[in-house]
Amino acid sequence: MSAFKRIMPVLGLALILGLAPAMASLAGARYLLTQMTMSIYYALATVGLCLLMGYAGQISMGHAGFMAIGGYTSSVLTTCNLIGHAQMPAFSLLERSGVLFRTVSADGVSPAVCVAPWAAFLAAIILTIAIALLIGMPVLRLKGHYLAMATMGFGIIVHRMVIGFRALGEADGISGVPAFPVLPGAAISGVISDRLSNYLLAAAALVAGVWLLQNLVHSRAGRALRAIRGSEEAAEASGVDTDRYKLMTFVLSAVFAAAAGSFLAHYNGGIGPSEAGVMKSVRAVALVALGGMANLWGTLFSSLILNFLSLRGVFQSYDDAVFGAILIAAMVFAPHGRIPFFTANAAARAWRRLTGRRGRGGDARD
Amino acid sequence: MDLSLLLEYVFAGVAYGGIYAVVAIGFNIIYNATDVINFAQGEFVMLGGMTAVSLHSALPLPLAILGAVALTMLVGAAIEICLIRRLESPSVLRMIIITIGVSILIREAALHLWGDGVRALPHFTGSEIDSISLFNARFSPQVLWVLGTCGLVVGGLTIFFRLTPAGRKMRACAANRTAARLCGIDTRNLVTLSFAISAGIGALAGCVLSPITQTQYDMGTGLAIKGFTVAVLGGLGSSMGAVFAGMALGLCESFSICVLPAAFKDVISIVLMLGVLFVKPSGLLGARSGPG
Amino acid sequence: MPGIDKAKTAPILRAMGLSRSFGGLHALQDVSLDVPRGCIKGVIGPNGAGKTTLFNLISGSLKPDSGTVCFEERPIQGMKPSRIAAQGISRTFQNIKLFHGMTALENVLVGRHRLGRAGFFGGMLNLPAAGRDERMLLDRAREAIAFIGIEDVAQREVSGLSFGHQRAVELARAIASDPVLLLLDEPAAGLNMKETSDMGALVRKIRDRGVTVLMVEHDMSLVMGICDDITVLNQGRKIFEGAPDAVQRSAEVIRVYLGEVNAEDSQP
Ligand SMILES: Nc1ncnc2c1ncn2[C@@H]1O[C@H](COP(=O)(O)OP(=O)(O)OP(=O)(O)O)[C@@H](O)[C@H]1O
Ligand SMILES: [Mg+2]
Repeated sequence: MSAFKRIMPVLGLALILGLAPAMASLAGARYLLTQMTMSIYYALATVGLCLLMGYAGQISMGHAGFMAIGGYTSSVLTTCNLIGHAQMPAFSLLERSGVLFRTVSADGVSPAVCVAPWAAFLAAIILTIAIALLIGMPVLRLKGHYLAMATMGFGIIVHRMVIGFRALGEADGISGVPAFPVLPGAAISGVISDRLSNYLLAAAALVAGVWLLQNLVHSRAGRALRAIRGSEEAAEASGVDTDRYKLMTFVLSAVFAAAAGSFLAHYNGGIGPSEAGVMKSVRAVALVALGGMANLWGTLFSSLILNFLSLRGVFQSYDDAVFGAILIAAMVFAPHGRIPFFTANAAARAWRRLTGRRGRGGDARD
Repeated sequence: MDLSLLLEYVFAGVAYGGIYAVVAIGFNIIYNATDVINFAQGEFVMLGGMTAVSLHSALPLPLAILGAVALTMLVGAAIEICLIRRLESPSVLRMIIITIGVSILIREAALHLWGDGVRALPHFTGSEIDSISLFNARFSPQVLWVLGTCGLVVGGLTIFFRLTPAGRKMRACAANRTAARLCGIDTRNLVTLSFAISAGIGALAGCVLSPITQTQYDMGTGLAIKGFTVAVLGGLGSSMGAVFAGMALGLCESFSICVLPAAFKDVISIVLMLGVLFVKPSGLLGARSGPG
Repeated sequence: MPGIDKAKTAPILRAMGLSRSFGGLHALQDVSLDVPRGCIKGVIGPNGAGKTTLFNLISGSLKPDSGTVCFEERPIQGMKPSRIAAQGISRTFQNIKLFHGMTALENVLVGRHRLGRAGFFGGMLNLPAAGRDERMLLDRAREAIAFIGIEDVAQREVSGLSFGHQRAVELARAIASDPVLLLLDEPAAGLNMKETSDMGALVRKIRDRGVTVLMVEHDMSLVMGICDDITVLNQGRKIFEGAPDAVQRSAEVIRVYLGEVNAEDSQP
């Protein structure tokens, strides 16, 4: 597929995401931007899982665990007060290099020193990579229900740690997470007046993430991942180092989740243990299944739409039940993870019918 | 630690262990029939407990329990007939996702039916404050009920699998499904039966457990993980293995109070499970559950 | 120079004393085998003789209980299958293992995987080098497809293909990696007579490109027709080795096979 054709859907996504706030404003519903921004961050995490589960065929029931690791690392580091360690020699060095910054503590008067958001973000990503490598190496040797149970076990452990440790806020979580200035003049924060810029930042992050993944799935490595899903034995026999590819994918999907978790924590100004719950992981799995498994765009749109509806409270108290039903329906009625409504193929056909044009035969696939 | 405290820990551990063993046996029955791990196994336990509590408002305790077991068996059979049966040669991934979906739906249905409060059956004999005393250690008579139920389930299943025609066919089916089908055994109905039995013993466990731990709509996931840990520890498919592994896990948890904060009690079984899976990735049983 | 001479005549693959059992079943016992460079070597034997197990041990899908496998005079036993493949051994499977959900061309592209360079990050950032690499892979994959003669199904999803086409795609995938040694596990199983003789011609053509072939096959006319050398296995042991006509004359082989033929005759 040519670079041009590959960039088109990404540009299309950028356009849709860019136009959405304008539509919301026209409809007089700018307040929707908040939930739209949040669902974009959730979608960022979900497309990461799509790569792992949809393309490489490795189920993970602990995706929310990585989201929580990202969110909590950022939250803890940017809110913990290090002023007690001010006399340590490394302290001034770190402060001068911008890793630490001075602020005031929650009471509003006493001075505090915390880790700068960018440094915390970096730490979150590094920690995530380390944990994903550590967990992934043994876990990815497992298959089927063993893999599902083991990843779910990992997710539950993260959840329990988050609830069990005082430093992680126990049941209350962490609040007071500062803004994250990612670009000059634009920071990820929950400030109402910055709602639009925040939305655009999130959209830009998602477009970038999807662009990377879209390239990946159409590359040699992406093909190797799909081969692993098709037949691990045959992939190995073709010279694909399946252990390595699975591990890389696991780490990459974890990084997507952690980045999304970290951004979301800055956006919400805090994080709570429910972000690490098993149900959050199950939701991500449901969205990938609904999107059609090895289907980046299906996952993306199902995630954007359903997370938005869920955050708006459309499903009321049936929120979790809806996702449970989606899981079953997607697997019973769309055996090979192909839900016609979402596949790019169907979109292409519809487009051709609409314009009355016929594409070249072989191109319909990608 | 003095002897009586030690014994109290042992009794608590053994009681939980018995429940874990029964949940694990539930996993085993479905696994033997279908090669699928039913992620909704824990929900059967919850459903049994909740239904019995509701029925008990109108019926005497034994009838309430019987009714709860029967209803849960129906639910189990219905799941198989409505969902599992429709699939032709489904991949493991698909089956996992479906049973996870089922577990969520059952849990949410329970939440809407019974609310998020805890409920409990009364102690089967005596009351909460009654206790049996042994070497100065005091324990609830319900512990004996749990152990009795565990023994009953293991014994009953053994008789069922060895002596009844249906049970024998199920064993044939577990050993080699294709061959069983070629011999004219209707494997589909056996799968339905295995779901029903598995649901039934889960519900029974839910009833005897209810007076000790109480029953809540979201207790399923935790129990499922523990049951799975026990099933893998004891060797997937093996009942006696499940009993020993269940006791081992129950005791581990019980004594963990001495070294770990209570919040981390549940983590033990997960760590144990991960440990077993990492050391022997195909599960402890080897061949049957080998890679694939 | 004697060194080069020796390298030329040394067997490309040398298996020594391979044993492997499953539980109590000795699937393969103390089997040794040399595959001379540039030949087509056959492995035959009744069902359950251990032929596929032998292939799995060579290609690394299974680890031997004991014994060694040397490829180009370097030991390869115990390596991961992907590393063995990377040295130039590729294989097909008795029960075809294609990548479902992918087109025939994509399947063959995966076969070419080992000769690509673009990694995870190159692919993710769509670097120019990755693009060049991809075009090179694509050209070569198309060549392999043309060589096997399945251009007409190249863009079709493989699970929708006929059995014969699926076998052909698998073969194209196996030769796409420019193997030095090709392991074929019953390439003609399930093919009709015409297709079988086409397959024979194709295997010859592959050998003529300089690929050494080790082939398991039940179709005796195919085996006797194209193999230079044949190893006969029975119940996990090697019972005979030699040229096709010698195999046909061997009393031991005839005994094993007559038993086999009788058993097959008695079935409808
Ligand atoms: N993974 C395995 N687990 C258990 N037993 C196995 C395994 N693979 C092979 N076997 C057994 O080892 C023996 C040899 O099998 P193998 O597949 O090598 O035979 P084969 O010669 O290829 O037979 P066929 O002509 O039927 O393909 C058989 O009895 C088979 O049942
Ligand atoms: Mg074979």
